[in-house]
Amino acid sequence: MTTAEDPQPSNTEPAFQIELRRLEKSYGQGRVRRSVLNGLDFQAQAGQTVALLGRSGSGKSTLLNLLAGIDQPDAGEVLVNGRHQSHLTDSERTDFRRRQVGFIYQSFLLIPTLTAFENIALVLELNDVRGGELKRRTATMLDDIGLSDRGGSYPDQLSGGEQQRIAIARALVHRPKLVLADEPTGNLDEDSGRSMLALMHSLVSQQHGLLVMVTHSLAVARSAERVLTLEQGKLFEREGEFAW
Amino acid sequence: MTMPMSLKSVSLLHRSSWGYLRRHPWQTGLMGLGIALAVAMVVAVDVANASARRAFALTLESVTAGASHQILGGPSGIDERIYTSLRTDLGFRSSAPVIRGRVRVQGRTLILLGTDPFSEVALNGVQPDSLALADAKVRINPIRVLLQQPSVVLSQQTAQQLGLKSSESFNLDIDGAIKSVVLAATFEADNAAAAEGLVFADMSTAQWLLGRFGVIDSIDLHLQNDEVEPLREWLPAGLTLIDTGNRQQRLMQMSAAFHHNLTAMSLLALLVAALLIVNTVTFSVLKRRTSLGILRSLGVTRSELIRLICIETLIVAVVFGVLGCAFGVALGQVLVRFVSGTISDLYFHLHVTAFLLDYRSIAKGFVLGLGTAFISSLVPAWEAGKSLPVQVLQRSVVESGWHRRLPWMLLFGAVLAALGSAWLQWPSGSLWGGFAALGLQVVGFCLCIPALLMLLVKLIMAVFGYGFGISTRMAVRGIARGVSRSGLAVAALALALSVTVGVGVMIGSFRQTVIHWLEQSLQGDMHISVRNRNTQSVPADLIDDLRHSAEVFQLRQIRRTLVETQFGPLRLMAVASPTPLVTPELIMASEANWQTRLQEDEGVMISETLAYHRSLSSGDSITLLTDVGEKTFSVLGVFYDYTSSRGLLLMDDQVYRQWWRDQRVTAISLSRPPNVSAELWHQRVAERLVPYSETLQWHSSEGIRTLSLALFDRTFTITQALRLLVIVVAMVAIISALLALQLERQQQYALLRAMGMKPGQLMAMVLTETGLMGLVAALLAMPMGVVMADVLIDVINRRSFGWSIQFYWAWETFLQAFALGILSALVAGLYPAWRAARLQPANGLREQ
Ligand SMILES: Nc1ncnc2c1ncn2[C@@H]1O[C@H](COP(=O)(O)OP(=O)(O)O)[C@@H](O)[C@H]1O
Ligand SMILES: [Mg+2]
Repeated sequence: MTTAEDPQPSNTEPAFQIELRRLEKSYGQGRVRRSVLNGLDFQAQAGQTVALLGRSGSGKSTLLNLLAGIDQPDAGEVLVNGRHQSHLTDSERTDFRRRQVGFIYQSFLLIPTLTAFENIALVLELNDVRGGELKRRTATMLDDIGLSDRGGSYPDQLSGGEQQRIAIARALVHRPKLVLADEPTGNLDEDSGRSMLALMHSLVSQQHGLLVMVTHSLAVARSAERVLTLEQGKLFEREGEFAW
Repeated sequence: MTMPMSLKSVSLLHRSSWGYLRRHPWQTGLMGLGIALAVAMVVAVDVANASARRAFALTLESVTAGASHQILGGPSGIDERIYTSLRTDLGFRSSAPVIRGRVRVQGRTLILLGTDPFSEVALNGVQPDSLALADAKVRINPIRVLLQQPSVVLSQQTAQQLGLKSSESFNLDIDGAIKSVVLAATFEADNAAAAEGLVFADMSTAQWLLGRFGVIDSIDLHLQNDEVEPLREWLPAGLTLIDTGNRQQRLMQMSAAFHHNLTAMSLLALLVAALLIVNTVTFSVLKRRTSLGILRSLGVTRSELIRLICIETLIVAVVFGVLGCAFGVALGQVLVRFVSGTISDLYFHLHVTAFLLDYRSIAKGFVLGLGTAFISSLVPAWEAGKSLPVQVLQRSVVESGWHRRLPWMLLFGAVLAALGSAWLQWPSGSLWGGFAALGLQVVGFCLCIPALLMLLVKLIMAVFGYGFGISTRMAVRGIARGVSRSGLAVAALALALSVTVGVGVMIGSFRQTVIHWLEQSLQGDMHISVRNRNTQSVPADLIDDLRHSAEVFQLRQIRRTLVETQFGPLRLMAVASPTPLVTPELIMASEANWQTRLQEDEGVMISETLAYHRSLSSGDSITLLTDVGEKTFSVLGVFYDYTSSRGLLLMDDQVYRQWWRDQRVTAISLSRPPNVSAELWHQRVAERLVPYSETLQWHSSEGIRTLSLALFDRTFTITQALRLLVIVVAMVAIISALLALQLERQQQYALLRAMGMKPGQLMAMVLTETGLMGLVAALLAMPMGVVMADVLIDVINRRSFGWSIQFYWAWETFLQAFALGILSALVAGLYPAWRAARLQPANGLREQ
């Protein structure tokens, strides 16, 4: 498996790097156990954008969960900046998710009892950003996604596209190093999808993060620097095919 | 095409029901627990009531032993020669003399019943279904002749309880005098309970034991209709002939109100359980919305769906209803002791304490439980059936339905509560009318709660929201958003808390009123009374001695007894006192110059309870059976009294002695000269009383107060216990509702954990939400509790007992309820919070 080209040199912080080694994951119990990930290897750094392709049920979401530290592998290792994630306590793993990970879920998963503004600000609050700074950063984020006038609306008062933009903002507002997106444009028409994608790319590159996107769309895959497919529990790098 | 399709899908749905129940044992279990507890409470109270009523009836029956009529004498009894002449001169062979007294055996109080065995046989021969004592009794005399020792007969059960065998000797304690008797025989009664606690002896033995020679208490008769009038004419003055059936009925009616109160309490538990059932069934419908929706689109009709959901609930209700019945019977055995104790204290001494299982009680509880389950499941079932196939009950559809209906519920609830209040103003309402009106208020209140909860939450957010962190805001708004759940949980809790407040304030007020009343009515510093009012008297020389002693400032002399009146037997107190018989504070209403007229006009004062129950007031009159025949006394006033719910008459001592040939004094009270230390004085007076300690007992005012309050508290033990049970059912209800609320939020909690919320933070958030619900429930319960207390005090208590109680703000009750509300909600939130915190984010996120 080939690794990507050199990471963009980061000026201050050490470069974020994630590595998966011989990762295995299966579901079910006893005889009916079904292996989903089967000795999977993967490595990526901040500054990269990765598109993940694969048939439905091939384990893409499972892989994202493992990357995000939401789930744990049966065997194999997840290393973040060289550290074994399996050695972390639950609290440390929670801290990792809180500070380093932004996740855009397929069905957005906005919190219905919070306004758009609050949905975004909650992440900052969890990261101990308070008061004026919390407001300023949330407002900037709302502005970036073009919804500064909808901050007071509740999710059920927003259209699907607007909800998705809030979900993206929520995943990026705390400037995470690792941004994971599960079919982020799956529910959008082509135009909105394209603009969303552009927004995501520009924000992630601003923050110098690593973006991993699950997608079925050729256009989305084309926008990524690296394209991987998940087949039979393993990852394959698709070099050249999409390298325009 | 439709038929087979729908049949098939219904059987599929049945299978999905089972699958659901298995996957959510908690929800089903909690609903079952709630049903079981409520049914248990209804059954227990009903069984206890029925047992106590039956005990009451048996006590009366065993005393009247199958007679149709009874001749009763005054306080000093009937000369036994009257009986002889009744039998020999008039030839009433179906008659039997009876003498009664209380004896103690091994610390237990039993009733000694002296009868004439041969005349009993004659009487019982006429009425074969009475105690069937004939066999046993006939054997008494020969044995007694043989042993030359007084002998008694006990039922096998009583003998067993006392550990006595035939021909064994044992001691009877008769008001302090110990007398040895032989257990001549035991007998097996048809109805063991009826003979429980009775000691049978023949007439002369009983008279000897009780020290009442030549006197009997009553004569039991079995009369033909045409014999009644001639006998009545023949009877010497001072004796009365009564119809035992009528009298029993009237005596039993006295305690009816007390039983009704307990029943009403148990019905409240059912109401709380109903809220729980609505919640659980809604949850089960929501959890299966997908499968229900599919079935609906496959052609399952609306009514099939409704029927299925109702049947599901009924099956759970049947299973847990049976458990509840079993538990209720067990609980009833405990309760019956309290109920009988209270009846003995308040109305009539019951010697029967046996637990009698009335199957109708069980059936009643079971049917009520099933009915409640059925009606409660109708609402969510109808909701499920109503929606279109595609959208069967999205959570949001249910919630928006609720939100739309909130104003209407508020309005409807307010109308019901207002109707209830208006009904309560009805002046001549019955007790059940009072309960029904209170019920309307309670249901109205429950209907208002979800809307009030929303308003309060909005208010809290408007006032404090700005200062809250986002997760706190989430917790607070979660209450409003899940109002179908939180509203039910808060309603159940608020209802239970308001019962706590209402009953607590009622009891507290009552207690305070009694304390106040005791202070006013306890004249004197030392109270001396005989151990047995029927046989003993305070010695005249002692009274004389004390009256002239420098140590006694004032002496009050009291004769307490029972007299027959047109309203049945009533307690009479004849008092000789240098001070007014009733202090002004205790007078409710009176004629002018009532004090002098008590003597001059030979009037009586009556207690408030008597005035209330018999609609008497000053200016009316009351007929009493004196030793020289019936005599009408004018009612000169009404006074407060809390010693008897049946009523009390107060009379001047001289008037009493004039109409009754009775010289006994049953109590005296002494007051201490000024400037004498209380402690020293008590000691000195007590020293003078020591020689009389066999017949007399004495207490300081403080001692009487303590005794009275202990009695008071004992009377309300059962009410307190039921109040606790209602809280327990409410706890089950809110745990169930909160659990449902939290289970529905699994995905949201998983998301928060995935976003980096720590388990502790999540728990804090969940507990903030449930704690706030507890707070709101407690807040709402306060006004409702006050309303309930007011109704209990002014309407229910008055219609039940005729006592007037001063409303007293028992602050500690409010504080207790407040703490209880918040604590209950927090405890109920602990499990859901712990579950939420433990959740694996990846698993929780998948469930959609
Ligand atoms: N929690 C789980 N329990 C059981 N099976 C699961 C679970 N999560 C995923 N799976 C199974 O693992 C496979 C991969 O799922 P997923 O990662 O969601 O696939 P994708 O996102 O590529 O469509 C699927 O067959 C799915 O049914
Ligand atoms: Mg997926």
